[in-house]
Amino acid sequence: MKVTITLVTLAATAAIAGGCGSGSSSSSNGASNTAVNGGVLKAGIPGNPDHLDPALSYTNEGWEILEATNNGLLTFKKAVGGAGAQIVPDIATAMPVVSDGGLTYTFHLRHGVMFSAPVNREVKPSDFKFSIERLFRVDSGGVGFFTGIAGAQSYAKTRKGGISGIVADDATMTISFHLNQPDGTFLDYMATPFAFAMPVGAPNKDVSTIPQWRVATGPYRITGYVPHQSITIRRNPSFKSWTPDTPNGHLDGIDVVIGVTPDQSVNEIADNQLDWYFESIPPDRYSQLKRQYPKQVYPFVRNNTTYFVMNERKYPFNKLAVRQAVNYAIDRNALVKIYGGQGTPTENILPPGFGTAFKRHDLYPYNLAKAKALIQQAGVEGATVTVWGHTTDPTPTAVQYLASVLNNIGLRATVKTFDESVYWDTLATAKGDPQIAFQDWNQDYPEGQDWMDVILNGEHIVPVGNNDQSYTNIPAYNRMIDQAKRMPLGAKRNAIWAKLDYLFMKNDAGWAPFMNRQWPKFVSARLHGLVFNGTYFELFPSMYLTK
Amino acid sequence: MSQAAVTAGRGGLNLAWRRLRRNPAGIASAVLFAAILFACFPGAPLWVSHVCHHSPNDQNIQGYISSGGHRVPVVANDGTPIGPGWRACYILGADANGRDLFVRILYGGRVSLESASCPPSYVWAWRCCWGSPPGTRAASPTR
Repeated sequence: MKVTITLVTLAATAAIAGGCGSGSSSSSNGASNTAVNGGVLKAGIPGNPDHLDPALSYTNEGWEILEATNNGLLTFKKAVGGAGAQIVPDIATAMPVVSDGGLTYTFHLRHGVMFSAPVNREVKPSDFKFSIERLFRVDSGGVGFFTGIAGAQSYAKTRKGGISGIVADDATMTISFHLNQPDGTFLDYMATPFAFAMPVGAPNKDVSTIPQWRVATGPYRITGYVPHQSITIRRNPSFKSWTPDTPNGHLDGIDVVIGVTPDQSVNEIADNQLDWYFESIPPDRYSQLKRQYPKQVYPFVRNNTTYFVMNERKYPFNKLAVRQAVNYAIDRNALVKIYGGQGTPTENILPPGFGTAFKRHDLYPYNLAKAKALIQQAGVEGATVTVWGHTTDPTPTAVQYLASVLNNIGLRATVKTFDESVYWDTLATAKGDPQIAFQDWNQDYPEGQDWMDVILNGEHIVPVGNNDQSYTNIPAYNRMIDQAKRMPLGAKRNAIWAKLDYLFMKNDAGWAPFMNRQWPKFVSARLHGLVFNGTYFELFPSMYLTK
Repeated sequence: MSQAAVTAGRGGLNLAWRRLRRNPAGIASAVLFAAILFACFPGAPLWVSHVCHHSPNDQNIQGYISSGGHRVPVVANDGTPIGPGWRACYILGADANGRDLFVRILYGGRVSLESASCPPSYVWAWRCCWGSPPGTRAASPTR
C-alpha cells in the first residue's frame, strides 16, 4: 500500500479538468536558480523501504528513491508549482500516438538511454514489454493498472507466451499497447514506477538485494543496500540527461541510514547530523519546530485518505450494521488530534483534492449510543476483534483508540501491531486477513479511478497484492466503476465517482474513513531545492546542499 | 535496663521487629512500601470511584478539564497531552490517548506488586510444605 504521495488540491482540479494530468504540490526551500552541485545528502528512514525494485515498491519511500534511479516511457514533470502536474515524455521521444478510438497507444523510444553496469546497453522497447510482464510474474501490487491491456488477464493466469496486447519492435524503437477498453488514465499508469524499464533477463523475484540486477537508467544508482543498516546512492556514471524532465541532479549522492526513529530524526536534523528524513515530523514536535525553525518546516497537503478497513468476509464485520456502528463510534476529530492536528477529518472515500469527484457527505455523525444500538441489533455483543496497525507513530495510538472505542460499543477488542516494512504486504495477502486494520491510501495518480477501481472494485480481488482489503464486491457498483473508467476524464466521470463515494459509504461502509492527512517535513538548514511532486513525492534530483 | 535480659525470651519475628525499629532507613522504606500497597490496592479503585471518575483505560481525547480557573483540553489540537498539575484528575497529566497517567500508574503498580509477590509467595509456600513437618517433629521433644 502506498504510504505517502502528495498532491495539492487546486493543482489536481486543474489537472483533471485539463486531461491526463497528475497533481503535484511543490515548494522550494530557497531559490532554485542558486543551486549548487556536490555534497552527499544525509538521509534517515525508520525501517527498510518495502522494496527497491520498481516492479514491487508501492510506498513513497521506495518511489522517492526509484524516481531518482529509474525511468519509464513517460514521467510527471519535475518542476516547481503547477507545471509538475503534467505528464510528459521521458524515455519516449514524444507523447504516444493514440489510435483505434483510444484503444491503442504507440510510443517511440529515444536512442542512447543506457542501463547502468553491469548491463551496459541501450534501453529497448522489448525491455518495457518484459517489465510489464514481469509485474505479473512477481505478484506486483501494481498489476491492477495493466490488466486492461489485451491479453494481460490470461497472462496473469498462465504466465506463458507474453502479453499479446504489447507489441515491441526494437528495430524501429516502437512499442504499442492495445487495450481492451478505452482508458484515459493509461498515461498515468505508464508514468508510475511499475512501468519503469528493467532489462530483459531480470529475475522473477525482488531484486532489492541483488546488486547486479539493481540496474539504473536515471541520474543516480543504488550502489549499496544493507537491510536494517543503510542504502547508498551515488551518481550513475552511464547517465546523460536527455530531457529537462530527467535532470542531472545536484547531489553527488545520498547516504540513507536505516533505523532512525522520528524523534531521533528531529534531534539529528536540528544538530545538522542529518539533512532529510523520509517520514513526516512526529505530531507532538510539529508546533515546537514550526516556532523554533520556521524556515525548515514544510507542511504539505497530501491527496490521502486515512481509514480503518473492515473485512466484509470476517465476523463480525460481515454484518453491515457493525460496519456502520464503527463509522458512528469513531470521533474523527479525536483521531485528527492523535495525528497532531496534521490533517482534516473526513468520512468520504475520495480526498478533497479530487475536484468535482469530491462531494462531502455527512452520513455518520459521531454517535456512540447509535453505534451501541447497532451492535446489539446485529447480535454481535462480546465478539472478539483484533485491530491491526503498524508500529510507526502515531498509528499505535490510533489503533489503541479504535480498540477502546470498539470495547465501548460492546465488542472485545485487542491490538496487534507490525513493523511497517512488513505491514502493508501482510495486509495485501489473503493469508494476512485481519478483521479490521489501519489503512492509508495515497494517490498513485490524481483521479477517482485510483481509489474506486483500485481499492473497491471487487473484480480486482486477488490472493496476493490485493488492494480491496475490505473485500468489497458489489456487482452493481463494479459495473458503475467499469462504466466510469471508459469515459474521458472530466466532470461527467467525476460525478460518477462522487455518487459511488456516497453509495459505498451508505450501503456498504467497508471503510471507516477518518482523515485526509498532511505531511509536514523538517529539513536541515543546508538543504534546499525541495520539490514535492504529487506522484513521486520529494524529488532527490532537485535537492541541493549549501555550505 | 539490661537489653539482653529482655530480648532473651523473644522469638525471631520479635527480634526482627526490634532490629527494624533501630533502622530509620528500614522504617522509612516500610512506611513507603505500606503507602504504595495502600495506594495500589484499596487506593486505585477508591480514587477512580470517588475522585477521578475514569478507569486506567478510559480515553478522553476530546475532553476538557478545569485547571487553575481555565478550561483546558486533555489533549490539545496538536496532539499534546495535558501535563502534570495540582488538580483532582490528571495529577501527572495524560498520555496521547487522553488517559490519566496517575490512574494508570496506580493500576500498573498493582500488576508490578502482584507479579513481584509471586516468587516469594511460591518460595514461602514451598518451604512451609517441606520444612514444617520435620521442623515440628524435631521441636516437639523439647517442649
